[in-house]
Amino acid sequence: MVSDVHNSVSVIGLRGVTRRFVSKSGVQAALDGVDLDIARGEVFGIIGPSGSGKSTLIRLLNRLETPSEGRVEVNGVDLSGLDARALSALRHKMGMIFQSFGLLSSKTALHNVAYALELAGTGTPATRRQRALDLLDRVGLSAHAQKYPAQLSGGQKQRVAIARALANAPDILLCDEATSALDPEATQGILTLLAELNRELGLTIVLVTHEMEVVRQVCDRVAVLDHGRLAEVGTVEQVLFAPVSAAGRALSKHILPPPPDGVGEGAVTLTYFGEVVYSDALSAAVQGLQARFSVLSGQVSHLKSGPYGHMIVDMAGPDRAEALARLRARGVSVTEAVQ
Amino acid sequence: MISPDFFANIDPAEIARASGETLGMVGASLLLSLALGLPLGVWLSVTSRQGLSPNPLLYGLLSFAVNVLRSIPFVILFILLIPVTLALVGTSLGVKGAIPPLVLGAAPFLARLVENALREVDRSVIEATQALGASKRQIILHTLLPEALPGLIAAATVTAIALVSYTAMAGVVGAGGLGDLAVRYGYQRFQTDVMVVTVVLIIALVQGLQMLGDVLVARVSKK
Repeated sequence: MVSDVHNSVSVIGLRGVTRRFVSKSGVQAALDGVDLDIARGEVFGIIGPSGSGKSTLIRLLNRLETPSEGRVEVNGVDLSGLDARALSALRHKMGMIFQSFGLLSSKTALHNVAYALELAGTGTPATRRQRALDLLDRVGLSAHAQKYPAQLSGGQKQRVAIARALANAPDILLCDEATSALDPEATQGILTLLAELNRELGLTIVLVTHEMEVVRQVCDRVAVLDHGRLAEVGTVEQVLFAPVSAAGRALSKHILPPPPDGVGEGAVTLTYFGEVVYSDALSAAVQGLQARFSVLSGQVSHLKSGPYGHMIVDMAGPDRAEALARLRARGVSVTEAVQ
Repeated sequence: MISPDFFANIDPAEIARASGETLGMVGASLLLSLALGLPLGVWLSVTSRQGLSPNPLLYGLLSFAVNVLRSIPFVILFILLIPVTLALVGTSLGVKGAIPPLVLGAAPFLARLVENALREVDRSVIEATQALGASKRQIILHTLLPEALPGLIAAATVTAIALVSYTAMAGVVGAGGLGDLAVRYGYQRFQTDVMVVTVVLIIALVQGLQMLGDVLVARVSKK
């Protein structure tokens, strides 16, 4: 189910974080007063258009970037207080993957993964090699261990990068536009892998993306960034189907079908979480009543938490209110407007 | 047709000795230039604005020193450095006397090429290594240098070739080698055959170095 940060442990906390950059056009705030909590074990999305500050935000979490104001806490520890050694230790426990993979072109897939262990000073060459092979096996690349990145496809490179990020058994995985450079098929593969890792290892995943589709498929909760400010934070269902911010509405529009033309006065938006057969629910709702319906548009989305239906229905007749009440009684959320 | 007595002035032993001197000067000064220029290039790269530890003041100073040494024509540098050369190796003549100015001429050149080669390393690779918790030292030694290796070999090749032409110029001011032979016999005594043979040998040396460099770059490049 949906994780509620108030009932669980916050592993990452941002407290009034502002990050300014000096550019030719003056000082600009990439992030402006952001407060955020990310719970242990959740897949947390950060979404926004380019320039919204989302990449800056994720880079603050392992101190690739430092805040101009405010605090970033990981497991309750303020990152600004860490010395070089403590920062290295933190980064060993926080994997990160990137849009452009960041693999060493001079090393094979195997050595790229083993390199992470070498940097952390763990094991012997033999044990590192074995662990790297195991990790490559986990991401489905054992056949490609001896290949150089240039010999791999984008999706395979990102799998190597994931294996490398997991080498030191981190608790948190940061993904900065990890699927943005991949074709749809490779994107599916990576998202499936991330979902598995979250489920099997209890890995907390923070995922930056500009695609609502990515959020829809794998995230529990999502933060919407707009011009460096946090526009809204909520469960994926909330932000997708009942966005409260302009930025949230703009993003969810890409996922929902546009309202059909010629929607009349009596149109309602129905949303329902879980398995439901809409035609049955609607037929039952108007049964024996002086009401009739026509479906104008409908779509079932598969979220991490389950299927979620969204449809626009024209409901008419003297018993319209009673029919809608019956739908509500079945757990269908009814909104008297087209969304 | 060239008549057989065209090569009348050629003394194979003399040519061999001069070739040996040139190879010795290029080899020794290349090694020393690498020893100085590589760390200097890394230092430039690390302190540059996009580097691992940006330090505009230090970078400015290093960069200025490199530019000064690179802008002095080599023959002038050779003469200017005579007191330093005397202090360092006891003579300003011959192969030994040529090495300090050759190194001081080539090392800054190589340093700049090294800086450029390191800048070519994909920014995302460095960032990914940082995210893995690598120290600056680890990033330089285990990420930057190995990733830039093809570029570094290319830089060393260009430097070696520059050194060949520097040694030819050093020949003019008493350093010995093929350049010396070309000037003293080929030019001053009008022995065209000596001129032709020495120039052909220098061309062959440059060609050989470039081919060797290209083969090595192709071998280490995995891109």
